[in-house]
Amino acid sequence: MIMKESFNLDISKFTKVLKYLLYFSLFALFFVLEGLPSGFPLIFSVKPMLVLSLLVILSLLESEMSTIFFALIAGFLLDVGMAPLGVSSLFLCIVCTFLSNFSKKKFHVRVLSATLSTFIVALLYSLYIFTAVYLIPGSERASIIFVDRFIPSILYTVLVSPLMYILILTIYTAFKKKLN
Amino acid sequence: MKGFFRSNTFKVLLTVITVLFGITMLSVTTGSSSFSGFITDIFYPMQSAAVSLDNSDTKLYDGYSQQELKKICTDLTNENDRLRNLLTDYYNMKEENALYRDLLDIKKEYKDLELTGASVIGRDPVTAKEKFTINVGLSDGIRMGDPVIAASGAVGVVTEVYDYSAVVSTLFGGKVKTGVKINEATESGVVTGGNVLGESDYLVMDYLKIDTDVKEGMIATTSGSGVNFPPEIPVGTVVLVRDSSRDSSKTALITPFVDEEMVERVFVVTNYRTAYKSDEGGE
Repeated sequence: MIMKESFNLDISKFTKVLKYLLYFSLFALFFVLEGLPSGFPLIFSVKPMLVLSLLVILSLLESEMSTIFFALIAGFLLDVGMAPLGVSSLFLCIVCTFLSNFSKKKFHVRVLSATLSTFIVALLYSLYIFTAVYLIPGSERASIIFVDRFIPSILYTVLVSPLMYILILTIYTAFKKKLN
Repeated sequence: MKGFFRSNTFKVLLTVITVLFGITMLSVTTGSSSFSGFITDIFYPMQSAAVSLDNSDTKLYDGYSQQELKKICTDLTNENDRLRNLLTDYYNMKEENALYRDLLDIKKEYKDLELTGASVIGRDPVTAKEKFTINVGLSDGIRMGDPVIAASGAVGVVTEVYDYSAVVSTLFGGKVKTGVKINEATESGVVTGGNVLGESDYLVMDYLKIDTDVKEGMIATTSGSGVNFPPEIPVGTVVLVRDSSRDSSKTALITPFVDEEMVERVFVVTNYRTAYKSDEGGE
């Protein structure tokens, strides 16, 4: 009996590790797709923020503690070549942890709420990065960059978020069934 | 929400934020990118594998693989850059050549003149016909009142001069009254810019004799009298002779040879006063 329980515990731990490995692989995959010239179709010369979208959906489904961990990973990935290291992680840790906590208590996670959450986080994140990287240093082309790059990217991210939600929900449900 | 602020998750979040804040400050102040480089290094194998997969030798278009197309594109871009540079050189040389040709023509015609070549570097959109700025100044020996000519004729006079630039008032400028003569009709007088509606594009030569022989098509040249220009520099062609509005004399309208609004290269006569006016004074 004890042996059976111990075996179940191991299986459960293994499944959890497997799930987190899969999530981590998705982060890596989306990071590569974002950086690859032909990794994802361009619309108005921009790509969607896949890593950010993945993080938002995960924070809606997973626990706050997991969200902090994923926000760290996503933040570091987003900072590569974009902003000083830690800038994105700092922002995403705070916003996504609160979003995760909020989603558990205040609303049901559905496609619409996931899309709306992605839009809000993408908008806040873009404004934050735009301010830190372009506005404060006084870039001459700041306004053009915001209109030409940031806004299409936010909209593209929102467009992709329902698909991201379906993908992550499928993985999440499959692992949940297995764990139960 | 109160429960969340008391939970372990919140404590972990606070710790993480503090650490991240430190990392951020460190990377902002020192510009350190070693950790950033570490992350890039982690993903480098995956990225390079994806890139090589992306560049796989699949025949994509008209029998060309992506790699072949990329090579063709690079070659064409390089060739395009090279030709663009050649074209720029060609235009520069062409312009330089035209300048020297003009200079040579003028030098042949006016052997005694010392000329300094100049390019027009500024025009006010409103007063383009009256004045413009050239790229030579005091440092090039330009002085106030120096005559300015072009290959096809008289242009104007230097009226403002700075260290590295000067303002030229054209024959239309009002500041310049130029002595001219019409050799075929043995007439001489002074030209100014037309200041009557409909005549603003012409130079006006007033006080011609009532029985003047000046006719359309005759050539006006500088007379050398007055202070502005050496003699025999072409000014323009007579297009109309009419009665003067002031008295019983005649007035001729002249189209200048030099288009003041379009002229790009001019020459400043730097020895006019010493070579010509001192001779006159000596006489």
